[in-house]
Amino acid sequence: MRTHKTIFAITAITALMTGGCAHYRDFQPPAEPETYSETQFLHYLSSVPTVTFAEGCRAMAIAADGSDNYSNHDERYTALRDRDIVRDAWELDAEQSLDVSTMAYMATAICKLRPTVCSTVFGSWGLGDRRYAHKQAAAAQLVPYEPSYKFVTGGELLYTVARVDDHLVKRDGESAQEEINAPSDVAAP
Amino acid sequence: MPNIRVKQLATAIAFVSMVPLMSMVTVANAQQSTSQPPVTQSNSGAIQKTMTPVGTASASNPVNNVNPKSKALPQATLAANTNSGSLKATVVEIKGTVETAPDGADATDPEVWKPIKEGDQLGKNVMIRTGLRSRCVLMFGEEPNQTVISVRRATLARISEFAKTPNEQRIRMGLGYGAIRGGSSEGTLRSDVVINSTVATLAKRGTEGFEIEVEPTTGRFRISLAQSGLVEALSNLSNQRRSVAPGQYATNGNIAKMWVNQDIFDRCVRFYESEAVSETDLNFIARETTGLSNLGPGGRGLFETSGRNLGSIAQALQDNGSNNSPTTLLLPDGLPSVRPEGNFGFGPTFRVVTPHFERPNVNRMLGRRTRTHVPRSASLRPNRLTRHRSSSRR
Repeated sequence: MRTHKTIFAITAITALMTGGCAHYRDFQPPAEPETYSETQFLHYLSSVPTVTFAEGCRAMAIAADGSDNYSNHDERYTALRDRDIVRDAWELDAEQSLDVSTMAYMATAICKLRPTVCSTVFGSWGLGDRRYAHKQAAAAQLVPYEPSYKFVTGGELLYTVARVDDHLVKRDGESAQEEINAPSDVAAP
Repeated sequence: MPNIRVKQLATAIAFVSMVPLMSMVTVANAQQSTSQPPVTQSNSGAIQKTMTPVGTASASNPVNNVNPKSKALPQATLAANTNSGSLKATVVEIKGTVETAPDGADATDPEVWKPIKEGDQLGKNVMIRTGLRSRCVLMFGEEPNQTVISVRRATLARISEFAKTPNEQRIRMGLGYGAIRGGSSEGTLRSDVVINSTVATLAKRGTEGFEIEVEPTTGRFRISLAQSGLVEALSNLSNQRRSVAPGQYATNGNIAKMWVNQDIFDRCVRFYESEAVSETDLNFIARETTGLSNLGPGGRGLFETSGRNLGSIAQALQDNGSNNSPTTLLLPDGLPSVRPEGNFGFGPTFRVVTPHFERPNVNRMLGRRTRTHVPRSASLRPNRLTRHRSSSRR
């Protein structure tokens, strides 16, 4: 009996070490997402059941810069890594599914949210950096309160990108005076 | 007998106003709303007349081209124009990427989506999609019965209906996902705006600053009202409805709960730590001594926006003279201090923070001595504030 337990434990540990929590989606998009324009790509996300890391990087690159200035995932990843929006330590493949905490880390990095003590101390070591970022992003209402390991749907990614866009627009100085509340707020055509 | 007719008419009108709320718009293949024909068929002829669109005389006119004839037309003439086309909305502002397509177009189809520009006119059954940092402002109707709709970033929307009746101006929008904001000014006509989505419906009654935001595929939504009027939020998933007053919002999470819960958890809580309070903040806090900021869910500004400070609470505070009546307090060192009453937003830290900023006007307002008169023991350095605050609480 003890032997069986040992064998099971070794098998489980080996499986976790080799495969980890990696997940690859079954969904096949009707066309290669890289061929979509920015607006097309954003609206394509609303129909995706699970987004990949590459799609998440592209969406966040559009959110950060307002436009996608890169031709492929490698260029995009390098640019985002240089801006500390993604990290090499995650070792995520382009086709790997994106989870909530990774999306939250990218969102908080783009918005430059004020880090907490725990995220500064432990996150700098790579220990729980995405989980702390998820807490920050949820508190800033960039992402919903969900399990950090949950894989992101296209709709959730689109919503988060829109919230990031709102945050950046406010930060960049477009004040609430531009809010449209009544016809008097709009100049006559 | 007249009472029975009145009841029947009231029931029919209530039915007409309720059923359109139930119509929903699908995300990508938004179809034309089918809720209206049954309504008109199931009601009396008089009600049918009130729901027919106005003639094309004003349909092709720009928004600012007021057509006085349309207001002066008798009801029978208006009702006779049943076969005329619906009105068109005018695009008054474009920012970023805004594209339109015919009804039923795929949101990712590159062939059918065409960019629009300011001054374009959009009729019903037109889909609108926006990119990031983009928005499109549509103006419905003519002065003084104008309604403005702002289709915000990353949104898929649709104009389902725009018609004018002798009594009201009907606008029906579909929202697949994203956000729509707007408002209307009611003049001679009643503004009837309904924004449908798969998860929630917003019905507006002459309001300013309403907004509906729908998260794609998750069922989460948020319906809010910023300035004035009244909005009715309806959750299509749970079939629950809620009237949203200025300063309030309804989401999929709180639509079934009491508003008092929302007020408690959204209360504006401020922490007057020395690191957190700027000089401007401190001046504001010192001058705004009504304490009303603690009563509104969004702070004093929202409290005023909602109009509730015009009510009995603020008036009662002023009438009773309790707003600024002084109260004697004992400082931690045992010295008495006179403080204007009604300011229950200050924590103990504030008394310690004040000497560091060294503003005589603040100290004078609060009835305190300036720093030069404070004993040396009370002149604390910032790194000792926490210890002092703790001792004062004990």
